Order: sequence, then C-alpha cells, then structure tokens
Amino acid sequence: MSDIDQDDDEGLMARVNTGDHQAFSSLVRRHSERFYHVAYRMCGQQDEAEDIVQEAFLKLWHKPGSWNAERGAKFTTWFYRVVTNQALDFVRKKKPLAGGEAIERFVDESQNQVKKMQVAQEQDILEEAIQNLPERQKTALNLCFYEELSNKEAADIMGVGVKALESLLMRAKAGLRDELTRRNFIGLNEEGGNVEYG
Amino acid sequence: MLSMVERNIDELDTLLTQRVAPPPPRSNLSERIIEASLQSKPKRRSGFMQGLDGLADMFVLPRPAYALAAVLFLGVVGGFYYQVPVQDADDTYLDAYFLYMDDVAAGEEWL
Repeated sequence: MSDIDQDDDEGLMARVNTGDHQAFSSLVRRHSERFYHVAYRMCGQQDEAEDIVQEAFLKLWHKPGSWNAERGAKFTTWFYRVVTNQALDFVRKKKPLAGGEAIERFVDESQNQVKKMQVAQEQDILEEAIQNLPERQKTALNLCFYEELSNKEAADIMGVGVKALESLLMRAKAGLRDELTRRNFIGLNEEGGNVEYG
Repeated sequence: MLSMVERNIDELDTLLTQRVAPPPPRSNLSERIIEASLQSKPKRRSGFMQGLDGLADMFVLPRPAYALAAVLFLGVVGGFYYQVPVQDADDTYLDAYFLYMDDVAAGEEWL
C-alpha cells in the first residue's frame, strides 16, 4: 500500500492543493461510488448521477482552494454539500420524473413475473413519492436514511441545526405517509387496522 | 399499544428500507473522472492573488447574527463616547442681540 493510500482525506486534499494528481486520483477512487449513490438518490437517473459526480470532482481539481482545511470541515462533509447542491441544481433544471419511468429497477430474478411487476410498481410509487418531496426534506431523508449519517453530520452538510434537520425529517415522513396513503400504498382502515395493498 | 400514527410510521420505515439500491455506475466512473481531469490543468493562482484571497478571508462574516450584534455594540459604544457640541448660552444671546442691531441699522422702522 502506497503512502497516498494511507493518507486521510484531508491529507490528500492538502496534496491536491499543490497540484498532486496522484492524490486527486486516490480521492476519486476512494469516494466516487459513494457520491454517485448520493447523486442518484437525489436525481434518480444513472447517467446524470455519474455526470454530477464527475463535475463535482473536476471542480475540486480545478479549484482545490474552495475547500479550506482551516475552517475545520471534514472533506466528506464538504463534498457531500457540493454533490447535493449540484444534484439539486440538476433537479431544478429538469422536469419532474413522469411516473417513475426514469428509475432503474433491479428486482430479484427468482421472483415470478407477476410478483416482479408488483414489486416494481411499488418501488416506482415509493421512488416517485420520494422524488416529489421538497428539496430539503428529500436531502435530509437521503442523508440520514440512506447514507446512514448521524443527524449532526447531516445537519452540518445541510448547514442547519440538528433540531431543524429533525423537523425536516419528520415533515418528509409525514409527507410520504400522506402521499402513500392517498395512493393506497399504506394506510389504515376505519378500525385502525392496516389496509392490505397491492 | 402503538397509536395509529406510530403504526403508520413503522410501516413507512419498513417501506423506506426496501427502497431499491442505486444501480452500479455504468462505466468505470473513477477512471473516467481521472481521465477527464488529465485533460485540464488546475488553475493555480499567483502568490499575490493568494495573498489577496487570504486577506479577503479575514473579513468573512461566518455568523450574520454575531456581525449584527458587533455592529450594534460598536454603535452603542460610539454613541456613549460621542460628545454633542454644546453652544454656550451667552454666545446665543449675543448672536440674537447683533441680529436685532443689524435690523435697526438697515433703517427699518419699528411699529
């Protein structure tokens, strides 16, 4: 294992600041997939998610000074912010997804055809409901639920307090619950029992 | 016993964990990014420009509330030490007196 591979992210960024391309390559190999997942969760499109991550890394290469170690932010915290902002810009420019058509589906091949379609349909509804959440609620949900970041880390990335983040999460879940209930995806019958769906 | 809302939220949490994982990137994403970065060199700023950036960083206001509080504090302190110039009462009397004399000297008559 080379020295560069042993360096932490902040050490690599210090090298990138001096124009060290090897350090940049190491950072890219270490983090590109993780940030691709973030971008995909935000925009729901594979090609665009790849472009978003590429653009973010190229910006970092061209202007490494935009990350300032003295301000005390971890590299990943700062880069999460860069990628989510870039993804939000993309989402704002694009039209909303139509019926989840653009979402790729990966369903267990062992399931029978009917079950497959049912699962795919449910996934589409869920994905569409998440994609239609307000930007900040969607970002909070993605960071906390799918990136498995702590509330504090997610709050730092979004530049809000922990309480505000928790409020965003609650509103996101309430919004999803209402939307999914409206579409009979989840719900309660009059006696308070769960309604079967599908 | 769980309330209706709690039961709904539990069901929602279960659903959220079942959200499909993003598909893997189509191409070798890392290598694509590294290759693209080789096409262009990073923009390095001159020493002078870096110095200017450093200077500008010193004036960054990270917390607007602190900045506002600092301005208010400076305003109160400045106001406390500022002395309003006070005109002597005798000077005021004399000014009025000569004004009256000038009017008479101009030949205007009294009623």
